Amino acid sequence: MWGLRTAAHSVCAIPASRISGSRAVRCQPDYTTKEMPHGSIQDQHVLADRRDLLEPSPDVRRAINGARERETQERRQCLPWRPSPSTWTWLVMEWSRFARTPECRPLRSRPGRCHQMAMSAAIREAIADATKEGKLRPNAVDSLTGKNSGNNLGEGAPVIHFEQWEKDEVEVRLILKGGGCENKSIQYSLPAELPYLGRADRNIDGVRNASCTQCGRHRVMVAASVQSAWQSAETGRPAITMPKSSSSERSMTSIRFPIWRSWNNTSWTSQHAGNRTMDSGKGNPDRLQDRSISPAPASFFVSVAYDCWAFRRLGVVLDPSTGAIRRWLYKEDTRL
Amino acid sequence: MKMARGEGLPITGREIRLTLPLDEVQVRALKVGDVVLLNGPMHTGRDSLHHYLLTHDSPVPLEGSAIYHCGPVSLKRGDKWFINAAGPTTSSREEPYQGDLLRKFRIRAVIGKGGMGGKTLAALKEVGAVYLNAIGGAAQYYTRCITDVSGVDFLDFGIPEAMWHITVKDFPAIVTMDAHGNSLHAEIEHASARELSHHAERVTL
Repeated sequence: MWGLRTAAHSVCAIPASRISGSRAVRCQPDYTTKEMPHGSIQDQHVLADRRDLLEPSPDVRRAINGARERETQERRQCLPWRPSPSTWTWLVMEWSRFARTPECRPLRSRPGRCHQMAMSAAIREAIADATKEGKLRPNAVDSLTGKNSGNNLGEGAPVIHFEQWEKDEVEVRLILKGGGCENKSIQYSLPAELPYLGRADRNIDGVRNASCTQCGRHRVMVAASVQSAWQSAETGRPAITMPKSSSSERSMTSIRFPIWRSWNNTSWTSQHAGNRTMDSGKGNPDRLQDRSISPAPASFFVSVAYDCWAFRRLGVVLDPSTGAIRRWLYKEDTRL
Repeated sequence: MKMARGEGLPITGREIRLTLPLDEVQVRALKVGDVVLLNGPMHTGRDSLHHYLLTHDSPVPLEGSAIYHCGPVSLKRGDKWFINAAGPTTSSREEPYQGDLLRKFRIRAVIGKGGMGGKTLAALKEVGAVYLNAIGGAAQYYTRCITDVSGVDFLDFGIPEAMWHITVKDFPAIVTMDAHGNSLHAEIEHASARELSHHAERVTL
């Protein structure tokens, strides 16, 4: 009745890939080219792109078995729906078609009553499929060995955020992050002496330097007053994040405009030399969402990330009981 | 030319049509602001390739050639590779390498996005080479300019980092750093800095 063989086995595969997937690849570099044996994991569809997981090391087998146990228990619990990888594959394909220029990174979803591990597995499945199809560029590179996994799966790739909420629906948003948006992000700690701006104190005053030197910008994301380890995740959220003390509307207005004015008035994007209309979110406060983050007292990092003009994203709202798509996001409503 | 026109790039007739490989005279004639349409073979290269080439020979002759800072999406069908997307990547990452490689291999054109720094600018002037800016995010547009993928080296670097040998037709780009020491990127940065300094007022709650 679950139609869940696929989802169940992909759940099993998650811990394996997380724990030692890349190690398995490194130790048996040509293993992925061998014909896939049929062993205890039977679902060929699920594992078509995960051959390296079929003969895992003992610790991985333990992890797989443990995950299978847990999964079986969870299945008995109150989970009305689990996504099938085909749903995700289709979504990613649709998304890639929409996106046209596929270079990918983070994914975001807001599950209601669904199985996060199953969703993660389905997403990873879909990412691997889309990479195989040439819809996405293989971007997952092991930092230590420099080896590209070839399928966009790896430690921390793709980036998946989950947030539970009270609504009786599942919202999934997919965002493509290209290279320049990532490697030209900046981070600095305050207080500091900022080029051309002078002294920046260890408060909101320091949050002023947002330089984007590559593509024209669609959207700039600033995370302030967050421990450095949070920066990446926070700047990846579709919001401007500001410290807690600035959460009133009045104060946000006073903060926003100096920042946005300077961004929008400067020809700061050197690629589009002399082009001042580089920010497609220009001057529109609706594009900013404010979140409050409580920092550690002596930690005031400012991180600036951006999405380029070719900002690519797609989203769906799913019925939590059937997995059916209730509506698409971003297809007509282009507001963030 | 037809490709560029068909995709909506306004052709003024002042574009400079170049056939690769280039010689020094052709390159020295280019000035910042010139729009060029490249034709012929070029090679992609990113961090891994640049690092490698510092201490090794190139598998293909690079004299007079163009290096395209690009990590493509490539697919193999049968024995033949195809490029699905090939937009420019951030050139500033190659700043530590580029000047030395320009001198070592006599490369005449570097294509990428975002411009490069002083070390590269000096090498461009010394060697007689140009930096050509392509538009980041327009990978599909540039992909249509690729007429052939003649081969690939260093596939073990991974698909994006490998050295892809491609042939292009009317690949448009703007000269933003020329062989005379001019850099549009440096000019824009200075202009932006002046404007930014006007917004240095304190932010208060």
